[in-house]
Amino acid sequence: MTAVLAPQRMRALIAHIRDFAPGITTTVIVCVVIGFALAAVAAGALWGMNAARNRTIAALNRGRDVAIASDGTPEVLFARAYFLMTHSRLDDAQPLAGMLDLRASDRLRAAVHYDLANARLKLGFDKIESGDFDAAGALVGLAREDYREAMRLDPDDWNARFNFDVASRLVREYPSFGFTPDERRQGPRPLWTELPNTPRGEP
Amino acid sequence: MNTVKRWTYIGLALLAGAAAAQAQVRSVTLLTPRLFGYFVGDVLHTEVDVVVDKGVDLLPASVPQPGPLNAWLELIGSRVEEDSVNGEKLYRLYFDYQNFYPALDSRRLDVPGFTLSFTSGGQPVSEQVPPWSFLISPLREVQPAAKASGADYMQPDEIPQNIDLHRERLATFSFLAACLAASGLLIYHLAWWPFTVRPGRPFTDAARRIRTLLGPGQKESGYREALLALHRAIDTTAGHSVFAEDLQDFLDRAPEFSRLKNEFNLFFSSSRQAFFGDDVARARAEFGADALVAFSNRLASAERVGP
Repeated sequence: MTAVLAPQRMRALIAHIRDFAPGITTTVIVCVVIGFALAAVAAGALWGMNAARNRTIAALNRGRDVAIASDGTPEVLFARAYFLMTHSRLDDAQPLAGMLDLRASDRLRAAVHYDLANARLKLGFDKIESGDFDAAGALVGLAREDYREAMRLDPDDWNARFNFDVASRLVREYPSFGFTPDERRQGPRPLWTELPNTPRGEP
Repeated sequence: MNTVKRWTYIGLALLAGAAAAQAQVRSVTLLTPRLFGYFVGDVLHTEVDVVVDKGVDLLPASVPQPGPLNAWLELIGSRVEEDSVNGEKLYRLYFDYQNFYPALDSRRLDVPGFTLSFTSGGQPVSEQVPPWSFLISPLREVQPAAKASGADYMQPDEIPQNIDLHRERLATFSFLAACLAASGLLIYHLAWWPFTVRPGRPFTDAARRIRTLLGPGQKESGYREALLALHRAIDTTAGHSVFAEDLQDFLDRAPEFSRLKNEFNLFFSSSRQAFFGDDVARARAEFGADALVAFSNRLASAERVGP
């Protein structure tokens, strides 16, 4: 019943609107045109902005020291961090990685941790060659933590698995490197052992 | 002292037994994926199905939470779903383990079991989820060929990539195309160029012509021509000549114009003055040039809107 009535009612409603405002069709079409125009302008502006970001990324990849805003897009932050890592400024790259951890996608975060670990492992190899085993041990340990973080964020990151294996062989080769679990990796305390209703020995 | 303690134990056991007789955990099933062919970094998804009687509740705090289990194994996901099968409650517990074991050779790794706690009528009940194990394989050879430097053993860095622009490009061009299409529709609707000459819009044509004829700096004779143009438009729309006495018939056939009946009457009367009375000045006073332009515009608009 209502299904039959609906089109008639609809037509009556449209006729009513036309009586009220004869130019309504024109107005609607004009609004649609303006809406699409604004959307096109917005999309174009975004396109231009990202193209400019890509130019910054390209410049950093070519090895030019381009300063960036600390609240930049994750991709640009990553490019900057990678530039610092590959130009012996690991300590400056670390805070950028921390910032990316807060807002980048898991995929990008995995890439940052992987590259950071690579930079540390390479430095670790250098230290082993120069006989500085204490520094090498610390670097390899940190690299392994970052490889683990990369694997955790992106389990399909096979390069991270491979290089984790390389770093772990070093620990086998030089047992003095030892295994020092990272504070960050301790996870939540096992609260449940403190709760009632779980056996805790004699009353 | 000892005896009292022992009796307390037996009492507790009896109580627990009585509770268990009323409502208990029916079964605990551990579902694991294939147990071989894993590498360092692989994630293993397991499921534990626990069937319990009505009235038995799982203590959520006894479900292991994500975190490291030992030096090389980490629980990365833990999730509980509640279902019901044949009047019994079914808890589905999902656990995702990720291993970080850099194996030199193929070996078996143990995943520890754990205890789940339930309450049944205020009594604690606990159930054991058994440990299990899987086989891990090495990722590369034990003795790789000697290389010049340590870095040569490593996989290359991940180079920062450009931001993918194809979505923005697609959006920009789509919106532009949509905007152009809508503009085309608007131009067609208003019968602007190149849709100026279009059959079925005589009033739109007439309105455009009248605007030119009665525009600023035009001759006096323009008024007569404007009246004629509008007459012709009415005739074209009706399909025959329309005079003042045919007006009602015309409006019945084309109801979209009936709202303008008063203006039609004024128009016909001033037209009579101008053509039969040969008194353009009086006609103009009755139905001025501005009124004529406005009338023709409204007619054009009504024509666009349609019946």
